[in-house]
Amino acid sequence: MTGRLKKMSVERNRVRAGWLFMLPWLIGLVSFFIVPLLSSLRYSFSDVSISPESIGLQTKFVGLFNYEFILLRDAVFLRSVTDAVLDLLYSVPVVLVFSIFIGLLLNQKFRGRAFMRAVFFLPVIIASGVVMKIIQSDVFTQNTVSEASSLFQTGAIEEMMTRAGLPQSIVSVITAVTGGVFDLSWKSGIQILLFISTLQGVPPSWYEAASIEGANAWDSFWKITFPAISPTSLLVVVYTVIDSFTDVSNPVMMNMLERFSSFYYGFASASAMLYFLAVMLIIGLIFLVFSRRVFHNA
Amino acid sequence: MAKKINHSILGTVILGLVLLLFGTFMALPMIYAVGSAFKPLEEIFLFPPRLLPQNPTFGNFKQMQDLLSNLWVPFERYLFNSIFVSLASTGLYLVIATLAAYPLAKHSFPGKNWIREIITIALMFTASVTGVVQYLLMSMVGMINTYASVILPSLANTMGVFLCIQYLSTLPDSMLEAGKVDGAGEFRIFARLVLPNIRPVLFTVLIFQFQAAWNMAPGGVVYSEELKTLPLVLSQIATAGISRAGVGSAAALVMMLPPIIVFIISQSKVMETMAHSGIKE
Repeated sequence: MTGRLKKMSVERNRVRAGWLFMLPWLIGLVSFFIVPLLSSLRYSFSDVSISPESIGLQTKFVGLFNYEFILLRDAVFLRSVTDAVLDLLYSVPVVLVFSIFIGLLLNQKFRGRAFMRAVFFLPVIIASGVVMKIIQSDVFTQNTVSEASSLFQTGAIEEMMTRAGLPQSIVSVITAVTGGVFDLSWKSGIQILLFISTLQGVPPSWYEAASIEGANAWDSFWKITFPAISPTSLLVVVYTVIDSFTDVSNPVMMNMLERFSSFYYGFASASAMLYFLAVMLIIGLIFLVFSRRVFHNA
Repeated sequence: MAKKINHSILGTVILGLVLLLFGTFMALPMIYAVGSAFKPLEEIFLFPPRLLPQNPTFGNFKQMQDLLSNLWVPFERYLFNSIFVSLASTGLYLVIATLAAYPLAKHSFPGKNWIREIITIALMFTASVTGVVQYLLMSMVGMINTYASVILPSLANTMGVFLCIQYLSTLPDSMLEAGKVDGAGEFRIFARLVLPNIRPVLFTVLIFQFQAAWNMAPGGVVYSEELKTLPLVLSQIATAGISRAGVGSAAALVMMLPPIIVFIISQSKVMETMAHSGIKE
């Protein structure tokens, strides 16, 4: 009896220590995420204006007005969300296949492997932040297009193909595709790392056993590698969806940021809520479709 | 057998070529950015653009230096601000995130799953949604225009906590049990057993957080020149028209260097993370 009591109090101390450990981060989470998120939710049901007298915003409850306006009368929002969703249909599979492929290659033993891994990770370091902004707005594109791929779209490749006598329509399709693939491959850094980490966890003895049993590389990929990386694939798909939806160069995000910066907080908050509801729905759908299959395999 | 070896050599060559091709793809914008920093102005506007400068020059850097030396606040001040803010944010975040991740990964208590759900949701919301209210909150407690207004919001980041939790849950419980049997307190277990074993993921989080902190351009929350950081001032001088395009590329190169240096220093550790995180038992 006393032993059990003692055990219980030890357990309670443990839990208390745990909360103590989490406290600093929880304070930050509540004040810089949960409170702002809830206020945002409130703004989405309000007409928000800035008052000169007091610090802060004046809000007037307007019910679903903002939502109604966005869904029924705003021509841009729904269309750009649909576009973003349609983009996912090709960008997610491309990123997934590309990062599995590169992950497999970078998992091989060869000289200069560390260097090559660094090369594939560097875009992660550079792509976000001021550097990219400066490169894009001033250097790359002379203020016309803001995608890194423009280097290829304007470059010699297009000219070469035109000279070779290909019709202009085909050339522009090809350059658009290579440009798109380029952009996507530049967004795969994290995904590649996730796959490498998973692949490193597969014991080499499995492959040895398989090859003794007479399996070729194709068999061992589908029987060993594929089941091993399928949980990571789910993670990568979810990450890629979130990443492309929250990318500031995404038209929906750009529209939203513009509204925030021009003080239409009510509309901006409502469109943010709708947008993230859409993201959650898609992610939920992905989980529904894939998770059972994936974890079954694992 | 001989056929098989040939096959694998051919395979290696093909794989190597593919890697080289995509590697070039990845590296091209970098090379282009570095090249542009050394291009004279007329070459920057060459159409179609060239990868490398034909007449390399340090002119852009010199112009940048001239612009910077004419600033009202000395350049060193901005540099100090950036370094201070980045180091403070990264250092504090590592402590806060690992402390929070340990119970979330290894303890069981009511509310744990809720918090983990919130972490996943928070990953999806960007600063744009929460920014306005963050500003209001900080202005209410009089934090606007202080270093704290720059550093504190970055500490509520969830990505690092998320990564630490994922990594920690792959550590065997038995290892921590051993500490408990020896009568170690929770903090001792954390400091002596948890921290050394998650060192690889710490370096990953370090790179992410440093990179994010270094690029912070806290335009809204800081308006005194003495408190502004490098990204703000560099994008100010770089985006003042076409004639500044050269300065822009020089500035981009300067901004790129510190995260790359941090990456290279911790790179081996990151790859170790990757090697480690898969090992379950």
